[in-house]
Amino acid sequence: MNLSLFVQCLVNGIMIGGIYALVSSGFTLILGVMKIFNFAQGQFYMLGAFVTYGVSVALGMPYLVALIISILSMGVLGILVYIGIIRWTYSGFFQTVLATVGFSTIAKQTSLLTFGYREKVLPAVVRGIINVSDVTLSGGKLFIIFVAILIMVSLHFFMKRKVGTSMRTVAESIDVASLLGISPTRIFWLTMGIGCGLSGIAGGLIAPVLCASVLMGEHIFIMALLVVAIGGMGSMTGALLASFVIGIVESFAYQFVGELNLVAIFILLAVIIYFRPGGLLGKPLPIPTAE
Amino acid sequence: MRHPIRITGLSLLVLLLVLLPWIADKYSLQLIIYVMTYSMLALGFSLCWKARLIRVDLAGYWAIGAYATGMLMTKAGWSYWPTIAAGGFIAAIIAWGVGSLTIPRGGLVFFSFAMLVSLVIQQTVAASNFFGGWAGIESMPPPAIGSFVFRGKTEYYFLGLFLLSINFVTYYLLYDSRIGRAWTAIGSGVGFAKSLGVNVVRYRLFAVIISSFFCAVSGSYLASYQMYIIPDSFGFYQSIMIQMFSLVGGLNSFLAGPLVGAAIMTFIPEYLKVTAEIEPILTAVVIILVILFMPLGILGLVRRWWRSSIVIRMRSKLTIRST
Amino acid sequence: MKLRFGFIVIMVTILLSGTLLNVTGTEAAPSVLKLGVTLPMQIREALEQQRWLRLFAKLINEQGGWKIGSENYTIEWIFYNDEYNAEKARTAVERLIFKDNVKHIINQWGSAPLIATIKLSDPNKILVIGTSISDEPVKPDYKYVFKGTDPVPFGTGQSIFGALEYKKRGAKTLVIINPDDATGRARTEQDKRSLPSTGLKIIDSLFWPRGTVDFSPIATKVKALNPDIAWLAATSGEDITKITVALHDAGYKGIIDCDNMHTGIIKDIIAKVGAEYLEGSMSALFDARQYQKDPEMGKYIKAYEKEYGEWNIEGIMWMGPWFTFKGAVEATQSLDVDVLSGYLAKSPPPVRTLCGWRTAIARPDLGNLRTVAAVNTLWKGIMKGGKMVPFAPLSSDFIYKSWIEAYGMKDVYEKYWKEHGYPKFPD
Repeated sequence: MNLSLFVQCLVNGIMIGGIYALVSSGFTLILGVMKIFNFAQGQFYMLGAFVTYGVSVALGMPYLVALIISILSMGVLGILVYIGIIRWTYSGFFQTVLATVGFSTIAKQTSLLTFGYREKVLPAVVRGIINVSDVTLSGGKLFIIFVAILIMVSLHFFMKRKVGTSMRTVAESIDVASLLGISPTRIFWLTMGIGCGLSGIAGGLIAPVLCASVLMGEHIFIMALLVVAIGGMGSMTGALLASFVIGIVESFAYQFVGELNLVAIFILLAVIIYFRPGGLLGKPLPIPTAE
Repeated sequence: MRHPIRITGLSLLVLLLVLLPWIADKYSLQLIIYVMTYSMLALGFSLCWKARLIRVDLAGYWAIGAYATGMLMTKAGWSYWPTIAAGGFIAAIIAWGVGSLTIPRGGLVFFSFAMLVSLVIQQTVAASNFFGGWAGIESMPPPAIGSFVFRGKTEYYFLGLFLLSINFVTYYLLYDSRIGRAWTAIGSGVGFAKSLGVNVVRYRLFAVIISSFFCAVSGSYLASYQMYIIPDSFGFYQSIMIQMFSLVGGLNSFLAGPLVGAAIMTFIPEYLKVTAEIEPILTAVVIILVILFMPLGILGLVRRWWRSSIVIRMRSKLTIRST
Repeated sequence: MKLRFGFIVIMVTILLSGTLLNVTGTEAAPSVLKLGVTLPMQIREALEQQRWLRLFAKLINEQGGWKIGSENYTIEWIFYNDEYNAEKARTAVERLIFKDNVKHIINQWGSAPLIATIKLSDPNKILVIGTSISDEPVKPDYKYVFKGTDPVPFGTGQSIFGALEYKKRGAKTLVIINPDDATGRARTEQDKRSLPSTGLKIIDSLFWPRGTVDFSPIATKVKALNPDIAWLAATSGEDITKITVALHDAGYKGIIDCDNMHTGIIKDIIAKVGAEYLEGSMSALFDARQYQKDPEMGKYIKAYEKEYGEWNIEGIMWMGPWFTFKGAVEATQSLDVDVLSGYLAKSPPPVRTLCGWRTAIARPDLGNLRTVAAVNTLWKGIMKGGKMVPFAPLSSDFIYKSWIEAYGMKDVYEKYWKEHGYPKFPD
């Protein structure tokens, strides 16, 4: 493995890690604060990609506008899902999970009927290839890495502010939060909004580099599960760390074991979970009915 | 069982089941075959749920049963019948292995590993040429008893009925026994069960093993009916589907719920004659409606109605007596 | 847990209603010919097949129906979506056979759906003519199953032809890149057998995991191996675009060969990486308008453009089964499944299809002397100046022979030819 290949793999890994980070952060946020597994997380990603496609290609607006619309629309959709479904089933963990699965199916199938199975190709937004000595770096990918890091950093600072602290309080204990005068409902709105919005913008970012396809949500959801399992359920930093670890491992593993690279990640997960059931950084979050 | 109504009802049911192949048309019969297959899986899920363990790896054990039958029949020339047991035992052993490692460490670890196991099983059989790769096992001989070869749906129907009955009766006996009571205790609360002196890990492990065994049996059955095996059938979402059957039937009904749920979820799309594209949406909507309005499933609803009707009948009896 | 009465009531209700009440099928009016098929609607090729099938039926119906024997039939198509999935195909075929009472399933597409279908159709005496890479349908176990199009011989032929051409241009090495699924694996096996005979060296064969959206890792690997040709045989649809773009971004500078590069994909690729990148690449030539000289096929092409207001080429390669069926029905003037099967199994004359000829052949290598399999022909195209232009036609004879050689079946076939004669190819 020479330097060029190494750098290439690293860049690939960081890029895909960035995407995983965005989607998983949203997932972890919802998991940590609301204690539910949002099985529809992947579909928000997929819908975000399509919204970006629609706005930038069909409506002809600038790409950045499309991204902003993606994040907002997915955030709103997330809140609607909460109001319409999750709010009522919230008492039962299992029921809520299945409800999100149901919503995920509806989202996917309706999209299939609307957009068809054919993938939508977007024109590349950031063209150009940067050549550093022997290494070829795609401009589009670097852009994604840049934006992803920007968003993660913003999120970090956001969590340090009063709203962020309120969210963490609710994550710790809803009762304590309400005693402190924090409205859990409002926090839940915010959580769903941000969580799904993050997914949406991830979809929007990846769309020009790859494509917008109705089936893309499923794969990313499995990756989000892996990230959360490895990084720790409910830990944002853990999700961040794990996303990049998985992205890079996936990228490098491909060079050595080819199509079995996903299995390599599973083995990694197994080993980590065995020794640290809570993942790298999380506390073992008890599934309410299992403990 | 003293009530004459109950006995008549039960006899009617048994009669219906026996005569079904001659009453029903071929299309419905194959639907029923699938209902039986799914029921066995859902029964397994409900069993683990009784001990408050959520299984997401049922599809993996289903695959083990199917592949065991497929491989042993095509590569080793076995007759069909021993492969059912073989598949079951392989599944049980793997379940025992994974379970022993993960159950002591808590529900979360179990959940993660279960997910892992099911994904790994699917990937392994798909990626290796030994198991037929993504194309799967393309051709399997049908089961045979002596010189009688299984050809039509009727034979498969009775085989399915037989296997499902064994499954059902086994679980029924288990639920009625000390093991069943231990499970109920665990279901009421792990701490509570421990305080009663119940070895939570051991009983949960047993639940996992026995449900895996019957999942594999179901897999063998399906493989023999279809006469081909494709890795795609055993994906993660399949496991989730099973949970839905149990949910719709009624999470608190561990024996009847899965059967009712599987039957309803299979037949309703047929009644409504929907296209293949709309069907998943319909299923998902039904699930969400059930969760919102019938959290205890169909049977939960029936029970409530039954109970309230008892109260009404008793009340009317009292009224008559007092006059 | 006691057996609740409610449970009994419900089960009885469900069983009774499920079996008696509804679920009745549709009976055909006396002179309606119901044809059925399941296709994966998410795949472009299948959607196009559906369009062609509808078109052919419409043309026949408009002329007053199909005169078969003493009856005049109106064709009615029933399509179900099988999502390229054996389970769904099976359920749909159950419907076709037992509810819709279809007796002929034409243009079933793909190994998984076709195999699921024939397990069910054959015992119930339903004629099935389909396409699949798998050889399961042409084994002697089945009586009413035929391959209208077989991608294996023409895939092998294409590969060998292409490889020889590239060799003339100085290429020496290649890397095979295929999706990690049944088709991809089968195609890699195929090419591993056929390509060495051309003198090209296969450095490596790579697979990309299903569901991959990011092809950077594989592109990086290819760049590292640096073959003269990136051989994308079984890759299809948008994946071709994605891999090509990834290869370009990774800095790969060799030839990209892919069987399935058609106009839409070429347009997408050029939009992203420019026309220069594909110069000299060869592929199957999809646009029949560029080479089809037969007047009847020309008629169909015009009718398609008129009916749909646009021209799409994804379905052209796969209409072999329809033409096979049509030929058999018109020759025997019958719809009886036994009659049609008997005719098709005994060396029927070759039929023209949209992309070339379809000739029936036997498979002595599988112990099947009935002519249930097929050899199909097509044209090869080459990229010149941002456009795919015709390069050369591949003859049945070339395809047949290269395929037999590649699979090491020469002995079996020579013996067969001695006893039964060499197949009569029209070209």
